Amino acid sequence: MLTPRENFLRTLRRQGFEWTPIDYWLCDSKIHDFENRYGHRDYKSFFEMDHRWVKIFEKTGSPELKAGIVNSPYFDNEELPDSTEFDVWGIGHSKGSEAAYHMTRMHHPLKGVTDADLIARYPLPSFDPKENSFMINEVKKIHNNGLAVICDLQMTIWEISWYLRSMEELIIDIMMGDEKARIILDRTTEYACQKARFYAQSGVDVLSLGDDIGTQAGPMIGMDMWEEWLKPRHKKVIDAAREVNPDILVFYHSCGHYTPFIPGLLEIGVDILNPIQPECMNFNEVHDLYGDKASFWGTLGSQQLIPFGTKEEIREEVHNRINTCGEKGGIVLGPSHLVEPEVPLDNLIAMKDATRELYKRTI
Amino acid sequence: MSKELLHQISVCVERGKVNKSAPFPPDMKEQDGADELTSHAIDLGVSADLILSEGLVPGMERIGVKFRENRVFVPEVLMAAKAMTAGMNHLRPFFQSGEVKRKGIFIIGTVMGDLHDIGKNLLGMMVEGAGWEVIDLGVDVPSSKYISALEEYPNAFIGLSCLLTTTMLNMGKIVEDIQAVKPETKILIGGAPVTDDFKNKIGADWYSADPQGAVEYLNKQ
Repeated sequence: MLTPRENFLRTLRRQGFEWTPIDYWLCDSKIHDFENRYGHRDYKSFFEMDHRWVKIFEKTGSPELKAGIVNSPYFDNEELPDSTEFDVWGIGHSKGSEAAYHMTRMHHPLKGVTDADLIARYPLPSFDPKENSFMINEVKKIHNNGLAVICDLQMTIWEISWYLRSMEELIIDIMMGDEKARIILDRTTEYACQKARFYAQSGVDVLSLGDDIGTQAGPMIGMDMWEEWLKPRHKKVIDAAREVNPDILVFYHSCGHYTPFIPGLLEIGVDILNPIQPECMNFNEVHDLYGDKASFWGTLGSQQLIPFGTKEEIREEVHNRINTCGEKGGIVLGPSHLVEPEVPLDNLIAMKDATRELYKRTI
Repeated sequence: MSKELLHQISVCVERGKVNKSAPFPPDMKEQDGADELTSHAIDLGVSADLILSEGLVPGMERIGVKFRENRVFVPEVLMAAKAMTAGMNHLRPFFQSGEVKRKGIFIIGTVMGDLHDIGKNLLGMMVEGAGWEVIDLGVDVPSSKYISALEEYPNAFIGLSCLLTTTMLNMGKIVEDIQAVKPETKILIGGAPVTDDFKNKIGADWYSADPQGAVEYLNKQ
């Protein structure tokens, strides 16, 4: 019998598999529900996930923001709510109403900044490889437990740049040929390369990148803009990891419809496409076109099936996916997004049980 | 003369040509944009009403249709809206004096619990570009805020936006609350997880998968 890591990597390399791996990412309130029912919070072991996610420890470049003291040329004189907290990037997050659960409102430090020099000097986060030396042991420990390791480098360059600048201003900068866009994207790309290199050195199996380039109904941006502004920068990040470990698998996430970008993503070295939201993209069509060159991760609808589907509907869709991918595998099944509060825990159990019905399918 | 000028204004809006110094789009470099041409039209005595209805509005309408058909994307819509705003700024005094009337008032907000605003903002730009006054209530908007806005603008239409399935579920309660106070109010809903079936289920009046669909519905009223 394969170890979970062997099974996971064989599946993602489309070399045959014993069971279909699954992936869940539960929001805080769902973890709370899980704990209430099962008395612990380790849902990853409970659902027998073959992998674990890891993330390095980063330090903010702007400790004065972290301390909540905003006295800087940034934030465009915006009056930030008292509840605002700052992440390592100096991006503000303020609380919403109770109905917003874990979600926060974002405040962009570079919004309204007109001086390119201020953008060039904006304090980005950093990480100290020595302080992160625990990562090598962490990865080894997970491997020794027979599990695979995926690292989180999502919001790789595009999303993090718009979180800093605001989407509207970043896009307008690009369209107007304003150097501010190049400065922000080059800086976030360089930082992403450093992290990708470090993760590869730490021995992770999968590098997970992600930048939304799709919307519900179509691509978010045109192919020209993607080719010029994002594709070469994503390639740099992938190359940085592959220079260290040519075998590292590369996962790419974008919400929404991003089918037109798939050939370009495969060209720069992406191996795994996530999540293929079924409300936006037709999984079977994508699989027909790219199933021999890419593997898939997610694919079960977070907007309809997982929150509102019956157990039978979930079972049917799980079996469809596994059968479509066939004997070589090539899929990690999961909801297409974070498991939100409205999802019944029983639907997650139904999804897992359905994957296990086809246990030991091909080896 | 004025017909050609109005057509040029509409092209500037559609192509996102804001003003002469704007380098976008590259093939219109050094040419006057919506800013200069609208100002020029006013100097020539073209009525503000005509500039709006024959210049700015058709430009936004064409970009809205292209967006729906995936022939242009978010950046092109943002540039069009920027050009439209540059032209619209010259018309503001005429709105204030009452010389030009908007088609109506559209109150939008992202529903309670949801803090996303990109989709809502795009819709707001498109509806404003269609000649409507837009009152934007922001994000995480509870029923009470929509109802207060309706007290101020009793004939307004309401637009509810959301991104997440979690918050989509709050739309039903908000529709119910608004209808309890002002049952005649027309309520439009939209957002990534929203469907026509969901609209029927909660008793809203209109759902559109794209902003232009909402504009077309409003224009028919």
